[in-house]
Amino acid sequence: MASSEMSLASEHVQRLLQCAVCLERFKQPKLLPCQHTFCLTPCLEGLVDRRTRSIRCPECRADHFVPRNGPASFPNNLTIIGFLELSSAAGRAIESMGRSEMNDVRPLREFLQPQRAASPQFVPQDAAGAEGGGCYVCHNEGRIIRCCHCDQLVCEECRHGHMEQVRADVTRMISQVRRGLPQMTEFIIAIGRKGTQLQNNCERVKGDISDALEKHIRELKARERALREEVDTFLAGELRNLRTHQENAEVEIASLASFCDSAESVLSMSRPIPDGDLVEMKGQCQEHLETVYCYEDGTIRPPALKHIQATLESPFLSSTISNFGDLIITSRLPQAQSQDLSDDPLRRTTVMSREWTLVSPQAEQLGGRQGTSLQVSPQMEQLGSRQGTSLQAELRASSISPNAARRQLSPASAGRASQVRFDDAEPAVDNSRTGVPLQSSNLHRRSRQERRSDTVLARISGSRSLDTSQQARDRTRHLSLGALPAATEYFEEESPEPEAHFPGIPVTSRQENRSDTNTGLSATYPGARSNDFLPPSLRFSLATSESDETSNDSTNGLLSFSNSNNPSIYVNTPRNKYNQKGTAVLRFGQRGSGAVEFTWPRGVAVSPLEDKIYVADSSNHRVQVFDNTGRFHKSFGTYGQGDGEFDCLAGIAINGLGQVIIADRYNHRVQIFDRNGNFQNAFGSEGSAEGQLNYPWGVACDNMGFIYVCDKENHRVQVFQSNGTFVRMFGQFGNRTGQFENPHYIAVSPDNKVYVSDSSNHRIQVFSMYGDFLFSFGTCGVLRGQMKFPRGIAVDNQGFVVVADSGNNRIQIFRADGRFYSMFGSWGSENGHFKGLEGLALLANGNVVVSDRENHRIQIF
Amino acid sequence: MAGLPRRIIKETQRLLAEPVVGILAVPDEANARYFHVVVGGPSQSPYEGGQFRLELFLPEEYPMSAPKVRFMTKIYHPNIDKLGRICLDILKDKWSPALQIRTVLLSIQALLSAPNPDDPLDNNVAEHWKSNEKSAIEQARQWTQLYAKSNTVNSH
Repeated sequence: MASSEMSLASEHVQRLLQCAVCLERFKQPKLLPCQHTFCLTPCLEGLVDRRTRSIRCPECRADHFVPRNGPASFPNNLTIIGFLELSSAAGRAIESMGRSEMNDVRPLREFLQPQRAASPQFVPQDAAGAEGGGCYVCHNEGRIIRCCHCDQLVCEECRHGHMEQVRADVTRMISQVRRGLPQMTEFIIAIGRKGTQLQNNCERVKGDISDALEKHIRELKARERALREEVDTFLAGELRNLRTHQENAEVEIASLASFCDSAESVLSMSRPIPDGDLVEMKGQCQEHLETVYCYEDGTIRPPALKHIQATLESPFLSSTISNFGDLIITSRLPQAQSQDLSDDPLRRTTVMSREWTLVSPQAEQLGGRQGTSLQVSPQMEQLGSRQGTSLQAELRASSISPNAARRQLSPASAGRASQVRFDDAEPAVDNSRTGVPLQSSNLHRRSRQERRSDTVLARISGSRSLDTSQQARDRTRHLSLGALPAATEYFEEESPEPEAHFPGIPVTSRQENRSDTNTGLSATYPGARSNDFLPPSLRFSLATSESDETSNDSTNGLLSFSNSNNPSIYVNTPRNKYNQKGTAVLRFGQRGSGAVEFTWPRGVAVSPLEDKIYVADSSNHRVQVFDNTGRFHKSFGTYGQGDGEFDCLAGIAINGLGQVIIADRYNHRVQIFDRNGNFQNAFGSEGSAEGQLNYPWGVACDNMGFIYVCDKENHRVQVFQSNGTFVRMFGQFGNRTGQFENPHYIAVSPDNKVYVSDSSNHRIQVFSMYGDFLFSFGTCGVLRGQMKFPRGIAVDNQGFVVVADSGNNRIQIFRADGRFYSMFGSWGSENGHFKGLEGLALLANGNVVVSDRENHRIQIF
Repeated sequence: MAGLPRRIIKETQRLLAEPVVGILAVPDEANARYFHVVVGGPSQSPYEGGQFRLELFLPEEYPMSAPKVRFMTKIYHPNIDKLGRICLDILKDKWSPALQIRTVLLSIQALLSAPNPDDPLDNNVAEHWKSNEKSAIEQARQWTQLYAKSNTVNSH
């Protein structure tokens, strides 16, 4: 029958699309030099002999050398991939045959249909023959009926035998199904176990919450005691003082009274008084009289009454308390998500994993309990409503705020939360030991307030500007986007028993020996431009961290992150299917100067309004505009130094109004055009002062219209308003935190973080929009997550960061906190190959536009 | 259960759904990696008509490592010793993950058709085979009758 032949044929095709090692459809089929194809993971990777770096082909046993990047660098078998896409729909039916026994028994028909050359009953024949004469099988002309199973005309005996076979098959399948049942029971048990684990975890967390808060309550009580004692001391002192005055006055009175008495008695005596005595008495009387007058007219006054009051208001403290602690909830990524190791950070191998150090000095005092550096906000509902889902919570700056609060509460340091102030009118009163010395630094801090609102410092300094707790909470959200003290996150799947901690939740007990305060704090206190407000202990550790920062690249990572604005942190599957990219869906351009021809294309940008692609055609000194299908739209610009003229333009960006901002590199300036390509404004000149540029390269805009320019030869980033007014700049030459060496491209994420590709330092540095260093990721190398001379960079609307790793000729995608997600690309000139990666941009549908400089073309993935 | 790899499940299903001619392989009820195998003696060989019992075990690293197979029925063959161990290259160094249970069992069946006394497991049998092939074949036939006939399946 025709259909069975066709199904046979397609089944053969399906068999050909099966990997011989795992017996399933090819996943990422790689072609070995001997022309045999196998899946990349787990099949090929399991076959590599690491010692000899060789692989033996399972089909032909030929030995092949495995390149350094592993079997992933074998070429993809594009033919197979094409067939897979073709027959994926048809193949699904047959693939379901191979699924576990838990599936339905539907494939009964498929199981039985075409096979068993041994049994004569099922030899497929022409449809024409069946209708003609006789039983399909034995060609008897006997009683013919249509078999209800396979729809053939068969005679009675054959049908009987056939049905017997069907019966036997059914019996067999029943036993198969039964065999699968224990596995389902296992499943149930596993879920039960997870429930218990969850309960234990929650119990532990609750215990930790109680402990942490109890400790703070104890601290508050201690503070209360201290303050009251102070008041008592003050009272005692003042009373003593007053008493002294009283006693003095009493003595005075007594002496005066006695003098009066004695004088009177002398005077009243009839005996004559010698003159001298009388004069002397008069003199004394004068003096005493003056004294009395002093008391009368107020020259001698009782000591001024000192008034003591307590300022117990601290909006800072209240907001700290209300924001204290947070829950971070993550889930293990499911096993069956994808075979690709790269998109499952939990499965990263030891070699390539990076440990993110998240330090909470808090946690050390919590006794280094495992998995317990969680702090919980009592206002979970608030969190829930704010985030929109009850599961996404943040580990926030609050891990340092209670610290800060504690520092404030301790009597040794300035008790600003409750200050004891002495009001008095007398000028010569000694200052309180606490109040004044802070005044100047308070002001100092306050002026930096606005600049550093994104960072932790806002919490420590200036409680005065946080007048409402709402404001504080807003700040907190900003804060949480910023630098934080660090805790350790382990990404190993086989971490010691799952009950010890959720993956993704900091485990700090392992960190006790490490000077984790150092590296974490270097991230926490960005730039560390003035250490004077750090407590001495932290100041010291910050100093030491500077020295080992360059050597210790593994701990440069960030740390925990607010998830509220950053889906890329927690989503399992990004909206843009980065891990399926690798083949360009569109390529256009060739070397030349005509339309759709480029000479060293550099920056690319996508207009958010019209989804058009703008290419900085650098050595043609012009900008070409294409729509998102690659059709040429227009071009503008010519060589020169005048308005609207370029000299080797490099970076290009488009702001929210459609204005085109261009870094006119050799003219050392930035030009702004309107959406039609008409010149509007230009600013900048060669130099290294504020507002001067030296080979500006990448440009980017944030959603408020500020322009960020990578001032490459000045090794810094400058920020301008959209009219060209200089706002600020940050960075200097060097390889430390916050320093650059040849920053090339720059991008601003939707949550206003500035990502700079610090090219010669082989890393991406991330700053707040005010220029405060947040974190950096990337080191020099070829492994995943490492890069060489990163160039173009773009951030999608989920927060994923796409980086053009020009030295490795590949594109890497990271999550917003710097964790590697996936990558694709290699050197060459074919599809999906690059020579000289430059700029990157993202289309509205999530496709990645890449300028492939030495190939003089644009590729879109 | 450690979670049986899908390949093993697929192979098992296929073995049950489409058995190889002349070979029966069923997994053990308690242990899905353990198979009870019955191989029929190939025609044109002295083992013709015999039903030989084997056991097959899939180790942890399967398919990266070879399955372990052993004859449970006594058999007179130069490449199979008296304990039932089999000298077959694909079970040792020539194993490849592209091979499957069915191919292994077919190879064993082919080994029965074509004994190789130059690479023996049991020297006595090999000697016998090389010096007097006819009588060795006759002995093999006798042993088949004795041990491998379906109603008197003995094990070691």
